[in-house]
Amino acid sequence: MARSSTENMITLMSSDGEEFMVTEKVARECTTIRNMLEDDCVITNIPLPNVTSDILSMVIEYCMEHVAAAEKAAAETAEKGSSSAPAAAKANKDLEEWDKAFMNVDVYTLCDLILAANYLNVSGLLDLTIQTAANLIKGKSPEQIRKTFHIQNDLSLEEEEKIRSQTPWAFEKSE
Amino acid sequence: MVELRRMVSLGIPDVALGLVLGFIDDPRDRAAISLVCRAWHRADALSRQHVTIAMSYATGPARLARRFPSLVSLKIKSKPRAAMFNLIPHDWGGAAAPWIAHIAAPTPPSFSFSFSFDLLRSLHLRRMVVTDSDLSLLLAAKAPILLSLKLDRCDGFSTHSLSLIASSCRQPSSFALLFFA
Repeated sequence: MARSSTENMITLMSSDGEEFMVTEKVARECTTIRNMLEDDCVITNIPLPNVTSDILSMVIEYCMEHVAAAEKAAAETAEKGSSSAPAAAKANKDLEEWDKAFMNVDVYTLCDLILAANYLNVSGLLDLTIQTAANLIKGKSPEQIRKTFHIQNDLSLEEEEKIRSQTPWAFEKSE
Repeated sequence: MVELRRMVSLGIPDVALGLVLGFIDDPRDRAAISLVCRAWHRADALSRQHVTIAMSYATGPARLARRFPSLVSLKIKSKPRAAMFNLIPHDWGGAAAPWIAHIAAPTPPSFSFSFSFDLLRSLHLRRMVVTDSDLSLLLAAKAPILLSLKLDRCDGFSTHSLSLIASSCRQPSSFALLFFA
């Protein structure tokens, strides 16, 4: 699988017909695409009917950034013979900062990114997006959650009361 | 398309919500999630894996299994803390029998939900009365799949049950008896 020097270009096509040219290495960040490529190496054009162009461009941006970071780390290791811990830590921190800035999106985009990361199986992006969404929920009241995710409450007062009265025992923190 | 969805506000798609809920297990967050709307209530009920019941008489096994069909781990507490200092009458109650009878019962084929906690891997009973017959019933039904059984400050069983537990735990599993006071 060590074919990184041959820069094969692959075209990814979004659901709305836009085409994105990426290097094979970037495309391989998506496990779903990697599996397709390994099944049949001559594929150069991959339609992705579940992903819109605006979301696909974000997924590609994420994959490119992470491939570039990995390449930079590998190059530094090769240059110095051994990886220097402080430099690696700084690179990690930079990438984390980048991820954090990348997650500065509205909840609709976040949800679309979760679905795309899940479909394309980009494990790093999937963890990042799910964790970001989970953090939007944690420590909030039902009303605050509704506000954050623009959800209409379709529970009637009686239903709400029933759920509340049925589950005082389920509130307890597990030890 | 996207704009239309924003206008009608359908909230989070089910698949995405299911993935996100996998990252949230604090019971207080779960309680809030169950009150957001019907879809979130359902998603929480189907994905909740652990419940601690602070007081065994507050609910029943059938109701619990109906609401949370995917429970993997269950902790039931019964007698108040004062029981540790002999401040509670001996016949106060706190029998594990109704819970164990339900957990050990086979799920009727017509049931679409996990009637008898089919996914349960870990059971923790605290300050309850657990008899030898409760334990033999539980082990006969669940020994192959139960990975962890904790009898925490429980009473009512004899050494007979201990040897039964030792002989039925074939796979690597954890069993804990905790005595304090």
